[in-house]
Amino acid sequence: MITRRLLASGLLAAPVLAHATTPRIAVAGGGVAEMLCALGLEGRICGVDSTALHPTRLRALPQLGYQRALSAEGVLSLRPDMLVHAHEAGPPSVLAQLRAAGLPLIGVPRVTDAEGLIAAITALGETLGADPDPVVAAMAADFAALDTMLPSGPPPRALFLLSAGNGAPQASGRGTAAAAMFRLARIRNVIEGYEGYRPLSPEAALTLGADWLVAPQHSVEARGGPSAFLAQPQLALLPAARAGRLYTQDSLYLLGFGPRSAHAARDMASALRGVPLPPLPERPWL
Amino acid sequence: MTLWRLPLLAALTLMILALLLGVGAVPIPPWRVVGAVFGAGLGADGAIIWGLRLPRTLLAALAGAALGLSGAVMQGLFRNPLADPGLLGVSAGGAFGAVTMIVLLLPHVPAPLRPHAVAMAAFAGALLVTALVLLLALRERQVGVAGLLLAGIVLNAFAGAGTSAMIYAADDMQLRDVTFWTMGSAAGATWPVLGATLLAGLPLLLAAPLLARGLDALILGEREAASLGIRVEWLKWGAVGLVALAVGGAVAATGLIGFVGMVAPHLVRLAGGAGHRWVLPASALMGALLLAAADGLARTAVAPAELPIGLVTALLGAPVFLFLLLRSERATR
Repeated sequence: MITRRLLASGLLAAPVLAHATTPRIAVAGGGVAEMLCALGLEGRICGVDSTALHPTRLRALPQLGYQRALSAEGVLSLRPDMLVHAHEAGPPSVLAQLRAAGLPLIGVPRVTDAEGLIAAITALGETLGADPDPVVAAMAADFAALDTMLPSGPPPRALFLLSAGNGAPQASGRGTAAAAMFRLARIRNVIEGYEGYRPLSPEAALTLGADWLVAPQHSVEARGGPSAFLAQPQLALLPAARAGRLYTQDSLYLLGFGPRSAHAARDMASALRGVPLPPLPERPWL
Repeated sequence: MTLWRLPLLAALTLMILALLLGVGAVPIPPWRVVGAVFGAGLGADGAIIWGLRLPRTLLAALAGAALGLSGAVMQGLFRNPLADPGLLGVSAGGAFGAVTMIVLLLPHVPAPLRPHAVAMAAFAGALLVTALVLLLALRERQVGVAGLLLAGIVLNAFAGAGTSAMIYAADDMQLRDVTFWTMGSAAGATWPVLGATLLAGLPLLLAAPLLARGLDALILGEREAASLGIRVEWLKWGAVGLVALAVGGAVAATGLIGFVGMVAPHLVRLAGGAGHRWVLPASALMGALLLAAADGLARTAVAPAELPIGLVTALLGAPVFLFLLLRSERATR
């Protein structure tokens, strides 16, 4: 399905990598950059956006700025042979300009589960002429192992806080990457009342019965560390906050949906269930 | 004189504040609210009322009072019903400070200070920009009202551009924080925050009776006011300084909340004339009532999610205000 969507973008009539010289790939999207590196294409990447933070070597490459605020000339100035971008990269007008300038664009659709992730990496590998099989086999094994190690029984209930700045905490409802990760780790997202990231009423938060709070590392750091984060008035009354049950994780690792996602889900499930789950195998892309 | 209406308005405001304590995402019936407030039910009700609802209701009321009173003072000072504290760059400066902190500076602030960093930056930005406006408006040791207005426009634009630059540099998550900050919220209320906001607003609240006579005289013109024994320069410096302090405090605690500062004095004048001895205290009460009510709506309308309070004030306030204005105009015709 995803392969077909990629092919339908009209760019891939011929294998893109059938170049005389090694093609140069510009990348927009942290998870996408991880996929390319896992496929062994790191050496071809000529520029990345600011969300491509893993592997850290990528940060030494020319920067395209933030993935949602790409500049057509900026991308073209790297003389790439193609732009591989995440579904949220843009703005659309810039993508249109790039397309009009003759740059092949390869979009990776929104991924929210194991199947989607494997399909996306397969499609990318096939499109770019890199054999996806080893990566895909390893990832499928990781997801299968994750699936068997997650105990059945009532899942832990968690509340994902994107940030808790000045006002009401911004918590993730349905259809978010956080909700998708919770599903992957068999954790119950306590917010079902709304979609997307929205300010959550601190009073309503009290009634949701979350066992755990989950937040990205840098949001927690921005408030001065875990104890200061939990001491905020919007959160302090929550039983999870009082018990100090806050799980923080690097946001690209946790929400990036790339080859590391099975490991990220395993780590979170392990922490929130309070039982050390067996480790997943070490992979070169971790 | 309409001063006899003042206790009436005060009673009404207190009553609405009390009623609002029963309103929130978690329904608590009135008798249990009373129990929780007076310590009988220090269980879950007490935690919600004392930990969340009471401080935020009081913070909304206090910020509303500061904004309403400041609006009335500014309208008197500029002799223009469209004036509001934003003219002096308080809000734009506060926004610039807060956004700069969120996007650029937060990682460099020592961890223990970070929870208060955005509010402190907003306060500093508000005072700094207002001070610059005053300095720019200074001619031969006098502050002209026209100069104040022009300097305000220039610095508002400049602070706005600075804010835009920060927004441009922000990533997704910072952008969300920035967006919601600029729409205001009372959800961050705590007793210490309330105390700090009161400290910033108290000088203006206390000085209001002193300002009233001067502003009444100023209606006739600066020279005429001076001949009546008003120290006009002192009045201007005092009014601007105290307004910057009070609104800076409110902005720091709640983020940007438009509309209340401009509208509260209008409603008050519609209800009881234009004498400042009535308008100033009544605008403070009206501002408190409006903003506390708006916060009540913000925290219940889309529960379990929550609306930004500035969104509520503008969305509901604007049409009601327009209706009242049109009606009063028809009546005077």
